[in-house]
Amino acid sequence: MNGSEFSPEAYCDAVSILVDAPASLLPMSIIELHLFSYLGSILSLFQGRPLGDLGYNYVVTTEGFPFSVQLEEARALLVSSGLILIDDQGYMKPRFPEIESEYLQLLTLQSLSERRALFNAATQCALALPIGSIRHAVSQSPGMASAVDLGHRSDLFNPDDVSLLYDEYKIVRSVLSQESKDILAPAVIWLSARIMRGEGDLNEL
Amino acid sequence: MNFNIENVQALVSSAYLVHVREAFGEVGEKCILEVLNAVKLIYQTCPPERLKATMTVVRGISSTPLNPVIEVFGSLASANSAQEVGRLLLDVSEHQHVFVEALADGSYRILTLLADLDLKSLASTSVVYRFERNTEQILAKEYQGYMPKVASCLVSNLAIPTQSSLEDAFKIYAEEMALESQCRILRDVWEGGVDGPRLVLKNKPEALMRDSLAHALRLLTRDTSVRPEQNTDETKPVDIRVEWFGSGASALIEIKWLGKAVAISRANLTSPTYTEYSLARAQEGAKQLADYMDREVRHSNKSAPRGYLVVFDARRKGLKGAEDKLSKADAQHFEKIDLDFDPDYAARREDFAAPIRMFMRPRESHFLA
Repeated sequence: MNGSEFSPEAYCDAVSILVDAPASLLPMSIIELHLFSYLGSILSLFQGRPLGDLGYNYVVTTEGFPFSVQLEEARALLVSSGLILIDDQGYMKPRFPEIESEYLQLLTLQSLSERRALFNAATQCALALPIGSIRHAVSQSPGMASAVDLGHRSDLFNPDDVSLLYDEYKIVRSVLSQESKDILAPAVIWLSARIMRGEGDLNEL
Repeated sequence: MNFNIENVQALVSSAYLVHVREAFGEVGEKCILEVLNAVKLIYQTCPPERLKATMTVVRGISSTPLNPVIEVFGSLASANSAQEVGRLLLDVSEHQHVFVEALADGSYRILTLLADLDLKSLASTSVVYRFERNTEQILAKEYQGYMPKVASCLVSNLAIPTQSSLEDAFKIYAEEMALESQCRILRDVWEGGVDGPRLVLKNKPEALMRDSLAHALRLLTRDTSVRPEQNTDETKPVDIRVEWFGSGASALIEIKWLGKAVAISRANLTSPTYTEYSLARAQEGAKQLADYMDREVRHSNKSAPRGYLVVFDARRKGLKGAEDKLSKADAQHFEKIDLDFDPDYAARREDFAAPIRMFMRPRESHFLA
């Protein structure tokens, strides 16, 4: 992966996640930004968008976190331009209204504006589920799970893993009777299935 | 759980997001998200453990800042932020019912009543969240359901205290989960079940202890990767590895248990045999961890990990077997007695934290009269 190429998609997604994040999720850590971005990309696949539309890549780090070099470069750019503020503990907050103006400019490009709902849904998952559970659920998903167990760094979204992700989403969708444009509820159910698989606690009540 | 239709179906039936959307459409989903966000923000100032009254947070489907749905029930107070609502809730006394309406302009209206309202009626035009005696419900039109908990021992999924240090997370786990075995995973470690006398542990309880602690650490810590490890032999004793993003910092957690556990499956024998561990076992764990950390440093270019010995203490004084009855004094004898380590690795080396002892209480209702 060439980390030196600027990715407009990564830049837009970083802005989108921070601008639209519910107030209760701020300030946000760097790894939470990457987590929401990766989850948003999975949701993009679930919506039938081609993998190539993502515009940037992810790896799983040796510590077991999903991470994108291009997203990190976009984040660094937003920090250096003052659109993201860093607090004493290293957590991020968007600088309003400046970042909103930047976002409105980006949204004039239709290809970028269509992504908004996906990354919005990714952060909204953290209203329904604790972020620690989301992190764990994602770490157990196709592509992440084997690398996390072995402590290996590896690329994410290889064809076999994408195929497994589609299979899982098909199961979720087959059970839901609602119209297909709903992104959030299927995402929360997909995550919950992983949380339940790991801990057996969600079906308590 | 396997990722199959039956299991996903079970999740969907309790998925309040789906039901709220079915009840009110897209606007219902928007409202439930605003309610969840408001509750999370309120709990940052007033944690649910501090609530003496019932708390109901609503978002009217078609209400406006000038006509909130709760105004027909009494005179309202106003707040400009969730923090302000939280501060107000800290002062509300028992036997009261507080209703908070989150409005589209980010402000809140608050109604405090001595008599409860009919929630179903309120839910005919609103999405409703209700916190009452450690349970959480969501209502929307005809739908009324409990919010499933990610961890049974936590009061609310919406108020999980994330800790910056492992020590703080251990403290919460010890008090809220281990002490009364109030974790869905840990409750299975007892012979006779968690509602039995809690005197003797099941055969080989360490895997359940490891999984329970790992589950809790994932919830209670921020930006960490928590991985349970499979112990192959005594030279690789580490049970959980915790790594922090970016800094290269890591922690190795070794778990030991003290007390009495069934030694072999009881089905094979007429009289049970037991494995019993005391201080020497904890000491042995400390030595294994220290040795392992020495090797880890030699074989790795990463910064040195910090070692933690976590001891689940289920010792009971004078206990003979699972059918035994103990006095309160004997059953709780070890609750306040700390372990005295020699050598004390925590005092001798900087990469070794002070051992963490987590006492596991017996059931008082099973004590000798």
